[in-house]
Amino acid sequence: MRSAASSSSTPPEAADRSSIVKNSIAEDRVFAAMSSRVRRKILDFLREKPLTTGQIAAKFKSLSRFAVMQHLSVLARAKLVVARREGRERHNYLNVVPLHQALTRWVQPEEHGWAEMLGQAKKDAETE
Amino acid sequence: MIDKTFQIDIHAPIDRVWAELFKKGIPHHAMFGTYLNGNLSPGETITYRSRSGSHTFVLGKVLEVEVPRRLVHTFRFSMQKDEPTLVEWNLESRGASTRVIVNHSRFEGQTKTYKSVETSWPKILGLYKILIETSKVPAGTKFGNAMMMAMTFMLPKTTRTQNALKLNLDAPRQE
Repeated sequence: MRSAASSSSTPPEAADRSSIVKNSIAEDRVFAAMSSRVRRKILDFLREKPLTTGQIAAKFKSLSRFAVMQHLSVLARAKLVVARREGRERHNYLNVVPLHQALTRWVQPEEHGWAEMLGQAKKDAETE
Repeated sequence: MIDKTFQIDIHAPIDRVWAELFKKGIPHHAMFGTYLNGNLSPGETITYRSRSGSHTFVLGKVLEVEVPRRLVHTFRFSMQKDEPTLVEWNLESRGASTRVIVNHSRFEGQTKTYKSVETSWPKILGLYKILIETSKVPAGTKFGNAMMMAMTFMLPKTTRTQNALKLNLDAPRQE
């Protein structure tokens, strides 16, 4: 398979570094977004179904619509919320992909576990 | 009806991302090591099959194609009785990156298909990102896919390609 970087004029190593930096920044945004109880609650609501900003604001009696919009913009910057226009309304959808990306190396280590286990077995057999 | 959206940014040009997502004759490691079969033309049936072609795991009918930006097709698992659903792939060029948006809709409630895709799309898109950005297949993925293919004899008869191709592929209309 050809490297993604090789199709542009950027040297492959520089492009790889650039991807790593961009992915790290994206991960920082996910954790920053998840650090707020209100924002986690918004994601809970959106997991049930997509909602308009007004519908989300109506669920928070103690928060102004402006405050809810600010929380939503943090979630949107982290790509955890994706807005889709449907007719005259703009619906907010939960996008779990960045969260999966950020957590997968801790919560699904078994994905790589098989290979590591076999690698270790091979190593053990060779050193016996 | 329920619908879900999954979005990921991949640091590669749109043409390369499209080519990887819809390549033929090469295993889709992100799609459990299956092979995409069929023409990407409206009305055609597409399938994700085992290497030999004996088993089909996912299939659908192509409804819209706009290379390299959009593909719409119906979607059903051959091993589930759930009605077909709708998958819309949208690719947006964003400088040196490509945003991939998958809208999966027309689930008639929290069906088995819904529960399965809710957890598998993040994994699939995450793997496509790794494959495209690093050109490497995670060893665990390769091994897991090989194990899955080795177990095809245990799958229900509906997954046999000749049976799967008889299934209804028309998604229900939006309410």
